[in-house]
Amino acid sequence: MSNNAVRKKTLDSIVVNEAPVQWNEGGEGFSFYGVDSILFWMKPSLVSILQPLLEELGEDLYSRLIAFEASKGTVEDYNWMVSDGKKFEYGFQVWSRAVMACGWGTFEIQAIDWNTKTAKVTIRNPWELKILACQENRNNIPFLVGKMSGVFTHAFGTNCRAEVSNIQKSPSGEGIVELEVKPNLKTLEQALVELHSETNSSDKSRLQALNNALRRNERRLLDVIATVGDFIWESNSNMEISFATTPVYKILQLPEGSVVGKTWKDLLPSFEYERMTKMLKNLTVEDQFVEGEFFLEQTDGLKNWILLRVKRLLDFSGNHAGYVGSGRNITARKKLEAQVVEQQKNAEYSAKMATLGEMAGGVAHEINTPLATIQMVSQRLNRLGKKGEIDPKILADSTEILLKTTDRISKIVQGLRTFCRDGAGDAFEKVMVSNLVEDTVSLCSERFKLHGIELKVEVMQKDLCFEGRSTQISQVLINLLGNAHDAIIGFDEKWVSISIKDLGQNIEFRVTDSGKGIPASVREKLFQPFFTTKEIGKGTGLGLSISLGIIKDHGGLLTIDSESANTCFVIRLPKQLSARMPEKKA
Amino acid sequence: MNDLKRFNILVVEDDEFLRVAIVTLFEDAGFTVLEASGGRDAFGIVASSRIDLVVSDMQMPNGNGIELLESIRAKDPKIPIVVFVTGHSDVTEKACLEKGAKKVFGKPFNDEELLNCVIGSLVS
Repeated sequence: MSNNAVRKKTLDSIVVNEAPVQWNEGGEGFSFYGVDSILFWMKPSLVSILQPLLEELGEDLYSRLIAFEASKGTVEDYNWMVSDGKKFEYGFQVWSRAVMACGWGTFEIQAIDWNTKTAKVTIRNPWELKILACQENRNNIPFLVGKMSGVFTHAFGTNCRAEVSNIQKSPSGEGIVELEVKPNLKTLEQALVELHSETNSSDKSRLQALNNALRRNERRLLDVIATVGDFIWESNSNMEISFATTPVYKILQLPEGSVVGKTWKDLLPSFEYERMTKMLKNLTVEDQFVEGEFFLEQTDGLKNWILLRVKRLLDFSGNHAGYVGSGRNITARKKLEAQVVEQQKNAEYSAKMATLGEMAGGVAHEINTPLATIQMVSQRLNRLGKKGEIDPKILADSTEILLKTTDRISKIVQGLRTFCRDGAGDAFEKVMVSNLVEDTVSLCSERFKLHGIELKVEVMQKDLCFEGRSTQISQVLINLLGNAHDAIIGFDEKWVSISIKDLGQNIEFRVTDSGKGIPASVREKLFQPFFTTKEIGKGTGLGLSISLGIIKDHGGLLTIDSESANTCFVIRLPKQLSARMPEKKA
Repeated sequence: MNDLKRFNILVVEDDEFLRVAIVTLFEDAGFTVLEASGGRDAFGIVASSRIDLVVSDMQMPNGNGIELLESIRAKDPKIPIVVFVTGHSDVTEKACLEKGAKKVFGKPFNDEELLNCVIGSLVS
């Protein structure tokens, strides 16, 4: 059988869009994306899956591949036609009636020349025309062409190819197709090999197919961009916008057509444009993009925030040709961020008030005790005075006690005032460590006393100073002392100590308690907001996260000394302002 | 006045100035006064000396007032104990009375009321 010439192959697969199209001699047919080709004929809508294959191969090769596929098994058709000594033309008629009954269409041999091995065949209402109605601009019925190619190849005993010479069809797919059959020495394999050789690359239909594929990709890309919700823009090096995807108008809330042709200088307020140009100066490496958030105010007073990502655009010679970027409206996010900042402020205030509440008992005792002293001493002086028996020594001793006691009360009030005011906006000032610690301790010492906890303050250098906000550092110390207090309240051994060390450039505060350290699992979460090991309602879970924020603002570190045998928190603060604050908050 | 000298009063207060003021009040009145700055020291004195009445703060380091009350009551249920509270802590007036305090004063207090209470407790 000369059909072997068709079947012998050197190539049994090609790759289209990274998906293999495979066919093999022993198999049922070729498969695409792993879908067996038989399904395409059974379910016509699936034929559209073959579109990329058509685009890749071009009409001619595509039809040949399908035809090759269809020509498989035609030896059985041919053998059936000539069985029992039937003449081929007669057998063909019988076969035609049989397949017509299956809906393939009506096949008729119009002419046959056994010398030149040529034939003309018509097919009325071929089934394949209906199937292919979904593929626009196609005038081929490759499957039936393949069938005919196969049948006549066997009949003539030489490799033949049937080709559509005329096709008439109605939009519904009905019509008549004329086929011409003639010998053909070009095999499918040769054609495929040619496709992959460079000599074929100038093929117009192939270029057209590539062009189509490119357009489809472009459309797909634009569709994808539209779903992301950002807009894409391009400008020349003078920032004049030459292209922007249509969502730009919706995103920036600008009238249609008001962006292309304008520069970013026109669109942004001058101070924002200045920021943008500054940002673009950082764009030195070609493949790096920069991003920035910019404020946009429309003439009708609408305010928007946009996030712009910008990349340099290079021409084919690698020269700077402009910019390409994306843009996103982030106004909603900005509003949320502002709300979060506001809420955090409120939460910090609540946390502070909660600490104050915990201290209140101690503070009341701290004030009531000296008040009791003042009352008793003055009642005694009053009594003695009435009797006219005041000894000058008694008077001097008593008034000294009164002065010292009132001084103590004023210190407590001072500490409270320091603690309660919001120090976040204070300027950094020279803070005397001894005063800071004294004020802080006077606020909470009574609370420790109440629960039988010994509070040890290590004697420190009198003149040790740092630059910072005393209110905030005091808040951190109170928080650490309070945590230590709460942690060890049920222990047998109850003590908390504060020690201060001069490290030259830095000052180190250590708050240690009689606890035996913090488990690693808890240590990890300790500085997270709202993490607390205390009972519900006892702790806000904000103390340490706020403390950490304050210490970071001071350019310092707040850590846990995991080497210490006891639970120990360490604050390290730089002494000099210059060492920590490169720029102050505007 | 002299007959008050036979009464031994123990003043327990951790705050030095207030302790001095209270001690002076009772000494001026003619009592024999002993003093302690914390609960544990106070109980040591009660255990080793004859004490007729205890005047004690309730909030102190080194053994709080409630523990002191319990220890004294366990040793001698009859010794009158007068205590001070600030009214702002977990040591409540009710708790003190339940543990056997004779009278509870909130700080600050009137010294004549304190003195009268002590004299009344001892003389009656």
